[in-house]
Amino acid sequence: MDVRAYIESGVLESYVLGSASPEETHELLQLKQQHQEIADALLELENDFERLARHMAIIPPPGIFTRIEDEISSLVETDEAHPSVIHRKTGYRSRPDAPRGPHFIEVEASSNQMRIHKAWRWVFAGVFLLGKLFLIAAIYYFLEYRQAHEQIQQLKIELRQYKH
Amino acid sequence: MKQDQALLQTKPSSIHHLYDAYGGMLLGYIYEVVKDHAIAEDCLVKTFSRIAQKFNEINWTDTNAWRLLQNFAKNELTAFHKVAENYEVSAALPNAYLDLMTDEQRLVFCNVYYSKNTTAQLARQLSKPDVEVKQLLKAAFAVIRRFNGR
Repeated sequence: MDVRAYIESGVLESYVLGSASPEETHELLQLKQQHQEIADALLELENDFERLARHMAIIPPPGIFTRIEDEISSLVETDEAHPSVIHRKTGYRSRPDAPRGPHFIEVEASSNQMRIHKAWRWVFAGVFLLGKLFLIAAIYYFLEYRQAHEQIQQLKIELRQYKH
Repeated sequence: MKQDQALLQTKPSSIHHLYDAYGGMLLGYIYEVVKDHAIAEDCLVKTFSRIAQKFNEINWTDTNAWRLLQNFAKNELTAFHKVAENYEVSAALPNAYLDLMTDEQRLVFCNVYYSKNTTAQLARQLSKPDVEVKQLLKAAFAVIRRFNGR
């Protein structure tokens, strides 16, 4: 087989754009396993394809991911017996060959961030302000205490002087 | 469990990860088809919820993630493809890649990139041999590569 001619035929480009016929796709996936040159050319095209898409990207407005989460939530049911297990409405689990184990839709498995309700910002603001107030009060009472302590020391000295 | 761990290490492990990596690219792609920000955002939400439904069924190790996501988006955009038989060759947003292509290359590239047409179907529509359509597609990719300085 002439690998170079195959690469030059445009089938790889057609596959990357999702416009290859099922037969062409099947043939390409087989040839990819057999010829490293084809696998490399395909990888290169996929990179070009991603670069093009990145060039045309639009930053999604804030709140879109929350909408996605809501949409996902509306599509899944929570099993009452196993609240942490999510079953899909699609009937996927009813397939006889489907594994019996629990199925999860991972949403933030690897993220090191967490989402909390906006109302918590007032709680955090309150805690922050209270913290500041306690700090000011502590400094004030410390200074008062130190002044009082100095006065007591002074009086003790004066008292000793009178005794003598 | 070990398989899952391997998957987590090598490929996008969650919808959030996918959204961070490809959300903007998908929105840009969808917008070029629907040409309306609100509709594009709705479609993006639907696309990701569809991906979440199929997440555990997809073999992420053997497939290019972006190609897969784009196919999901294409499925969501079927209604738009039916309305617009031929994709408008001018992009909604300025696009240096498309500007460098010839009219024929752009026509073929856009009709394949933005619709679910196979090259054979497009060849019939354009009354050209399938081989010629594939060559035009290849030439369009060569333009993209040249633009990337490779």
